[in-house]
Amino acid sequence: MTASLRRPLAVAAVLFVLILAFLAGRVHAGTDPAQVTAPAADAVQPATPGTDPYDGFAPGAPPQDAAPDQGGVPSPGGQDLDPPVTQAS
Amino acid sequence: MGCDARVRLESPVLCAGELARVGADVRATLEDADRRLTRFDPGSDLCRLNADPREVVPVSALVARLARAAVWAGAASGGLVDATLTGEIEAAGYAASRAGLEPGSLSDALARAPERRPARPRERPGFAAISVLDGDRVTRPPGVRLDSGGFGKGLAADVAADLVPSGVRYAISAGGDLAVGGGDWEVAVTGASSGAEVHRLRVRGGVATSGVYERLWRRADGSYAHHLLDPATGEPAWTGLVSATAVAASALEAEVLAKTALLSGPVAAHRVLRRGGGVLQHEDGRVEVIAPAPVVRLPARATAPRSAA
Repeated sequence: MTASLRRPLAVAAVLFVLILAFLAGRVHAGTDPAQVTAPAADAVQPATPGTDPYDGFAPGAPPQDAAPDQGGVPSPGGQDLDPPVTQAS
Repeated sequence: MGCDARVRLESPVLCAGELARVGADVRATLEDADRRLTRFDPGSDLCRLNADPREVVPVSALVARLARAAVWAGAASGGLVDATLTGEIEAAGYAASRAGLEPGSLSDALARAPERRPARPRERPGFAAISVLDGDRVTRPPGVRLDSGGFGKGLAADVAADLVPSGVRYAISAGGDLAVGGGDWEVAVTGASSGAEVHRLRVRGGVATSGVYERLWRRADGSYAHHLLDPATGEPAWTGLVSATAVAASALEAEVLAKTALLSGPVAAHRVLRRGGGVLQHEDGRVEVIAPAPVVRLPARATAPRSAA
């Protein structure tokens, strides 16, 4: 093996091991970054602390001809908002 | 299109007043899309296109985008999402808006529904004859009519999302089809029968649900109909699924995927949803979560200049 190949091969090997360790850690921890599996109370999407939320077309009131749904209920201070909802319509 | 809309905006940068202004722009865009794309108002852009006897018709930018989306959706779904079934949906009993009307009984409808089978495409689908010229003219054989019901809501949510400035987390819902961005969102999926939350998805881009239970009505002969048609028969599709929820890069794409999954039936729906993930709700009440394909994102390679040594 030439000296010019040795260094990139070593870097690739180290990267491979690091990525493998990272993925193994995620699997071991039981987390799937793309999927939340259960509607748990502590999994509610909170507003980012210190942010200004705007929720609904008229803050504090649902739009006309529409019943409030879980995606449009304003929350004082923008904290502990229910998640938006997808549903058939 | 006759649906409710909801907008949620969050920002660490903009104040409440600025967010309210963005919200007002989003609302105006959604209302404009509703006016232009409804098939229930003869004066809408869409109805004027459908009624035009010419083969080449000048259209608004939004209708041109809808026409492009119709061609894309038809091809991407293998012909299952066919936006040119306007005559068939009217014949099935959906000629006027059903917004605000109480849907029929899902359990009764399932008990009376014909044999379950996946939907199939038409041999000569109408969407294949549509094209858009220079972004402002649509060509199609006169008589081929477009229906925005298949994905107009998702398209409207995406168009509205384009208005949101960077640095703002947003969730824009048009009739339950959402465009979300500015970060990851958790989105609740509701049960077809109970209306209660049955699952929660992590989404960035779009998520949409297609179901047979919300626009469900009883016909004069006692049979039930809904708005998701089997293109091959022109009749409502009964595939064994009552709803499908899809996650994708945009609300439009999610809406088309959700419809494709539902029309494909319980087996093929897995293949449809496997890329972005989603949720299937079966007739027997089972809720099936389809995990998205794993994605590993590596950090971008550094582009530092090489050493001269």
